[in-house]
Amino acid sequence: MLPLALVLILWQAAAWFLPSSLLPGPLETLAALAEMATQADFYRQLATTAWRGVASFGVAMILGVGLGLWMGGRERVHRFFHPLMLLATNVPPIAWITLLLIWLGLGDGPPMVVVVITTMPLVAVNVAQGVRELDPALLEMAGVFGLSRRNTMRHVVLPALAGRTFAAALLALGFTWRVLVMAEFLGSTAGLGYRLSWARQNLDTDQAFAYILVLVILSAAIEYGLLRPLQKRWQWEPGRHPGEHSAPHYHGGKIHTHPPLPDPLPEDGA
Amino acid sequence: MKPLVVLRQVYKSFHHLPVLEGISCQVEAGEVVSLVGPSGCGKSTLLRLMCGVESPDRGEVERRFQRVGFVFQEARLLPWLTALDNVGLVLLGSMPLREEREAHARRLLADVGLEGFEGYHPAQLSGGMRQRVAIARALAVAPDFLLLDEPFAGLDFALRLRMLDFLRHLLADDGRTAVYVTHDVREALALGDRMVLLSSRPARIQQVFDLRDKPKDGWRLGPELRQIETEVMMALLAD
Repeated sequence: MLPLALVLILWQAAAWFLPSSLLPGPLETLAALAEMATQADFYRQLATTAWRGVASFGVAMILGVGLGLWMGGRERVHRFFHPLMLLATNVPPIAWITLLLIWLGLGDGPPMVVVVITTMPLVAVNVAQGVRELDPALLEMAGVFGLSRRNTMRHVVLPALAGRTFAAALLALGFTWRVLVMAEFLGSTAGLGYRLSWARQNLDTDQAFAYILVLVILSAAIEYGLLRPLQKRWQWEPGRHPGEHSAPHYHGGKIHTHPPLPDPLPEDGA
Repeated sequence: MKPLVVLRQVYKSFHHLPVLEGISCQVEAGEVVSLVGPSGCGKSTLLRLMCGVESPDRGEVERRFQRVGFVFQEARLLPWLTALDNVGLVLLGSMPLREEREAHARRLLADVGLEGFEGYHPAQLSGGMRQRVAIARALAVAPDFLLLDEPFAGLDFALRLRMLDFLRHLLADDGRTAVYVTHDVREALALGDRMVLLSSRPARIQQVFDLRDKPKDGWRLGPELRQIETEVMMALLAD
């Protein structure tokens, strides 16, 4: 919270020295937001952007994880797709937006497709790398004990990939909002990015700041309301086991765990 | 006795490097066979061929067992699962009900002396305790054939002795069919009914010792077994 408070203080301080047409302060921005919040159109634009963001991010995740698993499991598939993934991530999003506007016209298409094109490779490459780094000894163990493919995937492969997948998902989510708003700004007739372009044309800085604030809140809501809880639930980290015992740690000449280990250790008694 | 595994003239190589050369042997039901040989000679490969995760390049492996339990050199537990879930994992196919799986896994963990540790993750357990979880997991499938690949190699001497004693009782009490891989001759003599001595890579069977009628009391080996111990140590030195 401290960095946010610092940003607010600096923002307010800067707003005192600059004209409000150039830099409205936090209170003026909130006032503009409150006024926007009374209009039904604001919710329509918000819903449009939220829907486009969540849907395209979801598609990118599904395609990215699927392709990543395929690439990671087969060397030839990896060799085929890896350069394509690098190409997709290295082409600037604005170039994709330009092409997609020419090909698909205005509407949901260009913003959503550009999000998928730019974020899916991030996920695919990370998941593929995770698959390549899977411990073959654990897979052999699963094979020896006759675990089905489904159970091996569910209990061995996916938990091992969770760390990389969530890291890639957080990165992809950040990209999603940036690219989506850019696409809406440049070539759409709906969404917060489109409204932002209107505010720019009308030199309505209060509204522009209010839309930026809404985008930040929307992005944080999806990240902290959906992705982080999922990460906490599914991602395994060495030494952190949600709802379970803590990893042992050495302090004050003793090894501590929570709850404490039964005493004496069976090893000592057996 | 009916053999559970029969190997006939088995050859295996990795990347053109011959590992096993003309191995023929069998494991009878109810016996414990110790496999001894120098490090890296192909003992683990032989176990993997026996359980079916590897196929021979040439020769034949006939498997007549129903369920196999494997204790690896490293525990190979899933770090994100508790001890209970690690044992229960191998029961997913045979026990669809979670309660049933957990009750069975709980009993097995108690059998290996880990009552009270069911909710602990591998990182929270010592090396010896992790290997006990691995043993419980191997026993969970009710194996009629048990393979142990130097399961206590990474443990310190005192703990290893305790674990070996535990294993000796486990194998003796249940009359299990097992193959125990080790490079420690004394362990092999104390645990096995027969001992197979392998040469250095590519592994060939140098000699097979029948240990059944030779007197021993736990770890105390009788004169005949001590004679074999010396013979094998000399053979390993000469190899």
